[in-house]
Amino acid sequence: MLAEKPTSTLRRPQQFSLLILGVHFLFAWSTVFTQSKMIEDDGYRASSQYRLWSFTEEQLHDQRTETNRIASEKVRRAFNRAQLVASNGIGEDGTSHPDINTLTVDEEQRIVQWGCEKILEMKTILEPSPPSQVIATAIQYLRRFYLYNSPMTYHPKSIMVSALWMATKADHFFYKLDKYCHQLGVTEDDVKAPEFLIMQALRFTLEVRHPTRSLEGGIAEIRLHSSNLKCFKDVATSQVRRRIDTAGDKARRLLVADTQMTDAYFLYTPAQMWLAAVLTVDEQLAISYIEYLFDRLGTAVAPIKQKLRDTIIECAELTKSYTSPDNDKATKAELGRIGKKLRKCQDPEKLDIVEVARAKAAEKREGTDSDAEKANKKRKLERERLEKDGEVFGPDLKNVKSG
Amino acid sequence: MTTYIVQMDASKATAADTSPNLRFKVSSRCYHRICEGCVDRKFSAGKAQCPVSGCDKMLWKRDWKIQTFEDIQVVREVDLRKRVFGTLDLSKLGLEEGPNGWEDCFEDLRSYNDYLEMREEFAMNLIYSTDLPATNKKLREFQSANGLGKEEDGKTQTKPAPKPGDYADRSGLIKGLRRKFVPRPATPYNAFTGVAKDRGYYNAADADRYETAHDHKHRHYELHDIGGYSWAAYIDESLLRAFSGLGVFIGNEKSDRPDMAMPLATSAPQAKAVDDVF
Repeated sequence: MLAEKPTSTLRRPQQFSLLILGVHFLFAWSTVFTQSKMIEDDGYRASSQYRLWSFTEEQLHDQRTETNRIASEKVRRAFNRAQLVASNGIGEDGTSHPDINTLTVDEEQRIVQWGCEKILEMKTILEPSPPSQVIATAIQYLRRFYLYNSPMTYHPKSIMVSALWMATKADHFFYKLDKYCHQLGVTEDDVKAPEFLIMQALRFTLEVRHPTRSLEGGIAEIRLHSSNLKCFKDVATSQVRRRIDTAGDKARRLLVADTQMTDAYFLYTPAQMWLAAVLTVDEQLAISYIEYLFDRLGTAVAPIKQKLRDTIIECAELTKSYTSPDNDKATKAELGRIGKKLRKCQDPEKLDIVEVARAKAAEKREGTDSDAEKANKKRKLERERLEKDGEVFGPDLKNVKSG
Repeated sequence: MTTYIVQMDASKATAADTSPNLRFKVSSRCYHRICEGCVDRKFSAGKAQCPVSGCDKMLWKRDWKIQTFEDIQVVREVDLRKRVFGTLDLSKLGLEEGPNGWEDCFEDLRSYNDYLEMREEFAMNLIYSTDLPATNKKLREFQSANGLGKEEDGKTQTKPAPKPGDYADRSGLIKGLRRKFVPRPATPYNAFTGVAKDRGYYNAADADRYETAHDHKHRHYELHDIGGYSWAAYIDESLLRAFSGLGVFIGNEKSDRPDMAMPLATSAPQAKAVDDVF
């Protein structure tokens, strides 16, 4: 798995860091004026997908490890509390942790993957069937959610229904809630309860930039310049058309399914993803188009030529690395094992997500304090306010003695 | 001895004490008020003293005007304002009004406001007769320095030819003036406030030449045009999506040790690692 092998290509020995820093400065000064600065790229840099949801492989792995560590500790503490309450009715003392076998990062990933596959399945269940873009958005919501949350805390089965529901709203493909719930066999509370939770985890950024939309423009661009591409030398126009259309269709199918199951959205930009998808389905076409693109743009993009080619090939490899579990018995068995394990280490306090959401709402509405505490707090606030104001208009009327 | 019908206070000039056919005229120099017949009689021969006792102003017939406002003080104020504003008129200095009015002739808003205040102060000085000699002197100096006023003998001064780098107001009374307002050439309206419309990776101008899978449905479909749908905008958006981020290498840009030879964001914001937001 990707998460297993953090890339070390960018790592350099520590003792050289100062020297390298110096070299960097020199290099930066000399290259700052030559490097390509495309306005489209700056536009992408302004997007929330780039700002909040783009990571290096290393960062992605670190984040998942950290999330897993925190969730494991939480689960242990929660079990400890539950045990103590069950045994003697006293609250937590935090000394002995029962030995709970928690999920590893990879197992968590596998469970999230399962959630993503389930969302893909929901496309066939729902009537009318939502567009692939809605499904893709939902899958990305789920993936983003589990970057900062663990399946041990919130099980994907309670999150994914809500994630899809949010995606239908974000991408303007509306269902009626009762109809939606009826078709998926869930209650309205199940759908609504985790909504705010997901919103928070998504950092309130609902936009997902999909490579499918990019592919549309990309294929139009390839069509327009097809006569200049090397691979179409001495090829009949009808054949050229057919080949481009086929490549476009295949790439699209790849982008809405296989690419969704990988970390591509975190690691690459949509522009690189669609090129990678075309590369996967028709290597010759993609390569000759990239060649042509660089020839056309000339010096503006010369410094990034090799890097772009490598990045796209990397991205294509990542997409290829995904295999559907339906074709693999071993994967299915593995999934069953993880599912059983998860049942034992699921956070008991977050098990009923509807109840959690209700408690949170109630807490927000009424506060956690008792009545006496509340009255105390109110009195204290009142006192502070009076001291600050200084009784400029005299004491309260009730304290004024007549005569 | 000839008696003059003199009415000092306009509020008393009602039909009750004067004939309704009697027309009055006001002197624009001392603001005394006598009837039209008396003006004809006394001033037909030329310059004469104001008939109001105690007034030693020498007046011509043309100095007598029909009263425009009921209150003589208002008439006087309007005349004085006309005089001050006319003297300090920027158009006489060869300046031109800009799109934002006369403010464009000044270096900054402060100077413009100072000018307005000074003008108002001069007018009030004249109206309430405070600081009269100084105010008049300043106005005279302004006129003569800029070649605007009339000399005592009635001969118009010649305007000195402006030299390059010359100050617009030579008397130095009005500060912060530009030599001349040079209007900027009007640029066509740009909804993107100057952000370049040109793309780096593709040419948005030839949107018409592109073809997509939806061509047969949407291209040149009038019913869609009515709703504001634009084929060119759709193509442009698709192409923008196809290329935006092509040169963004996340593995490099988000890294702690980016390769500086590759393009970088000017300020790459790092997503803060938060364990559990709840």
